[in-house]
Amino acid sequence: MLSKSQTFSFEFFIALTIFLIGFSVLIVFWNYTNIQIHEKKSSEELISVALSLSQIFFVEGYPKQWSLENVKVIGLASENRINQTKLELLGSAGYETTRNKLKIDSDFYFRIHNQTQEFYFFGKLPRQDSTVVKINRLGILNSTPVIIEVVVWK
Amino acid sequence: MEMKKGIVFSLDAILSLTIVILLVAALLLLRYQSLIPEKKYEQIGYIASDTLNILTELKVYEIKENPTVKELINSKIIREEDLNRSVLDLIGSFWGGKNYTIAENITREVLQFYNFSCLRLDIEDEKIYSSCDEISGEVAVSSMIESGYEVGKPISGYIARAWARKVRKNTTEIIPFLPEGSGWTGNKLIVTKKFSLPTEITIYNALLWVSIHFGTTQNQAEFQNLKVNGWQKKNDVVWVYKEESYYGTEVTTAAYGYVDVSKEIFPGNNTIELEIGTPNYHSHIHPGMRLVVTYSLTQESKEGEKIFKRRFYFDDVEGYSGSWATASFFIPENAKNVSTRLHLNLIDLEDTFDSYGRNSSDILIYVNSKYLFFNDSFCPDNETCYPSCPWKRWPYEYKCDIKGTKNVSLDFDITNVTINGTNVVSVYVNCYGDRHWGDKRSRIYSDPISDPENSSYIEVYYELDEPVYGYGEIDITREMIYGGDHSNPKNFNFTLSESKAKLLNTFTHVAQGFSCMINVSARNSTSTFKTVFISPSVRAIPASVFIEPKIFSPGINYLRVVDFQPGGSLSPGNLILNYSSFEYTYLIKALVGYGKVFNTSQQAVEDAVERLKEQVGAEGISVEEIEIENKTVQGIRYLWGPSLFKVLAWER
Repeated sequence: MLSKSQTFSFEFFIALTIFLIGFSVLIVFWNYTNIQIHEKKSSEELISVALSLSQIFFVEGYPKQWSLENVKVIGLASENRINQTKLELLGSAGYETTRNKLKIDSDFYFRIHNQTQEFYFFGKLPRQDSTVVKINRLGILNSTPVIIEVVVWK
Repeated sequence: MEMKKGIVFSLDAILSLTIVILLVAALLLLRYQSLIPEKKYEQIGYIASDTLNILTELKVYEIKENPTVKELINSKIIREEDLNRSVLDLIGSFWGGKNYTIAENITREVLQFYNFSCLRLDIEDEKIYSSCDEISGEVAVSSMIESGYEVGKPISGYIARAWARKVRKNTTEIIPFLPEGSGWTGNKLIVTKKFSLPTEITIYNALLWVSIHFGTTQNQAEFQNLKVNGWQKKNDVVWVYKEESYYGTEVTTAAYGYVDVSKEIFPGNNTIELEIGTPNYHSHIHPGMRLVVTYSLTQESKEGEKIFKRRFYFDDVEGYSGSWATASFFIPENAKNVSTRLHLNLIDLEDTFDSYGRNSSDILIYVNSKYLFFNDSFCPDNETCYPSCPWKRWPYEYKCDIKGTKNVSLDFDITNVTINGTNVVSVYVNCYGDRHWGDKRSRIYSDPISDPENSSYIEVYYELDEPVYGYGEIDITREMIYGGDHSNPKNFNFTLSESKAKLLNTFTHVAQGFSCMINVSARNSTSTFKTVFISPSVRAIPASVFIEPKIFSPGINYLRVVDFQPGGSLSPGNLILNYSSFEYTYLIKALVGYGKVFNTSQQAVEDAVERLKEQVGAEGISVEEIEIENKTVQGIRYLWGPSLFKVLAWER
């Protein structure tokens, strides 16, 4: 009896320990993977949003010469260039209005610049803890080739 | 006991470990497949297409402060009219012009604002510019096809074309003498050739090639006259070939020579008289006698003819006794509605009767055949038609019964016996070949200047589908001498340049001492010899053998002339002289199309005039009156390309 009881307790203890360790590792790994997946999905969504959002610099919108009153689709281009007037209209509309018109849940900002200077900024800067995606597009603003920085964050 | 413990421990542990490993493996296998690399590639793709869009949309004036473009503008390589072109157009233009460094620098200065990714611009798979040394990783490509203006060429302005309404050209005219002469023992032969040259010409050179057979035994020499418009030139002949023939004590010579008659030949009407003879043989003109006149002429530009009606006049031949002539004319291969007429005015021919009292034929006419086309009276055969008269004098003179003289005017429609190519019409009066049966004068009358209607001639009519040349084309005639050695057969080749490739007419003038029958063939550098003429009978050698111009082509062309006997064998002694010639008439375009685009109408006109003068000047033509058409144009594309441009982008 004694030897059976000893055997049961010791072996069971060892086996349980190994199992718990393994299970813990599994749980941790499961959790880590889930977080990674979530982050990646979130990044993907943000990249998709950013790419879609960046297209507004290459379409004219509807109507082509839209105003804040009649705009149905926001577009910031005219004749394959970024239209300064439309940029200013966007600024006048304000961030929240624009975001609503663009029908996006994420926050964003645009920055138009080249190597030496910044020509335009619009939007909201991201918080420290937010997931941020940045993409670049290239365009022409006022006869100057520029980098269009589109940042989307959540 | 010890052994059992170990087994339980190992089994449980291994089972646990296996389960954990399986779970981890399952997690790894089922982990989330991220789309981020694709999204990044999509972004790189946007960069490539955005870059191409910038190069396409950006205009030159918008980058005029870039160092390379600025320098090109300052040095006037890029002009005002280039400023509105796209940057890609400019790059392609310099690349197309092999200015690779300029194309690269322009691209660099435009694209250097962006250095987060690597960018490269290619044209037709050749690199114009790359911001990174090597391509690595995933590469996105955006492409488009573009063509454009050459740098420095305006895209709008003035263009002009010009054509000559009147030109002054240098050309050559060849006036051949027919093979013609007197009968046997023709003591005297007088040939009078009357012809007209254009009146408004300046004669640079006139060379008379003389080819005659006459008596040269000293006490019989009968070269009495060679008068050119009244000037005696018989002593000025430079004899370059002589071949003697002996008939008993008499020596006759087939002689070939030339005499410069530049000062004796005039614009307008001219007359050349030749008087030769030999007491026992018969004197005549051999093939190759011709007058070659080079002159300048003012010509108005007009379309060539489609309908031709022309006369080929006989020379006036006066033989003591007997006279004969072999006239020739040509019909082009593509001639339609051809009709030909022979008109003869024969004077003082003797009416002969043979030994049987039959009225013998005194007139024999052959047209493209060795058989008679016409004989005026009895003939024992239809070929030589020798009358049956008693022998009179050694060796071939026959005494026919002459019952007076007569003048005969004959008119024949010879259309049915006319062929395309060279035609020969032989007319014999009181003689045939080496015999004669007349006594005194017999004359084939011709005076095309003063009495054309009563002259002897062949009148030719035909039509062509198209004019022989178009408006603005100028015809120029030149002559090439065969050169080389006298020989039989004689081969001659010549090189035809591209500028003279459009031939209107081509002839050869065969020069011979003694002759019988000839065969002329021609070919170009790729074809085989094609026979263009065969004598139908003895002495039927045309003064000009017509050769269809289409036989010849740019490059080396060949002519072959063979003298042969009636049986077909080669005539070894009948040489083709190296003074034989090839005459060709070619067409030059005296018009130029629209040229470059200029900023002013005057510049365009001046350019057109200069191009026209240069084009015709190469052929010795000067332009006297020019017609100009100028107009403004927009959007002319000076081609570089179309070329495939590609922008490649990849991550640094």
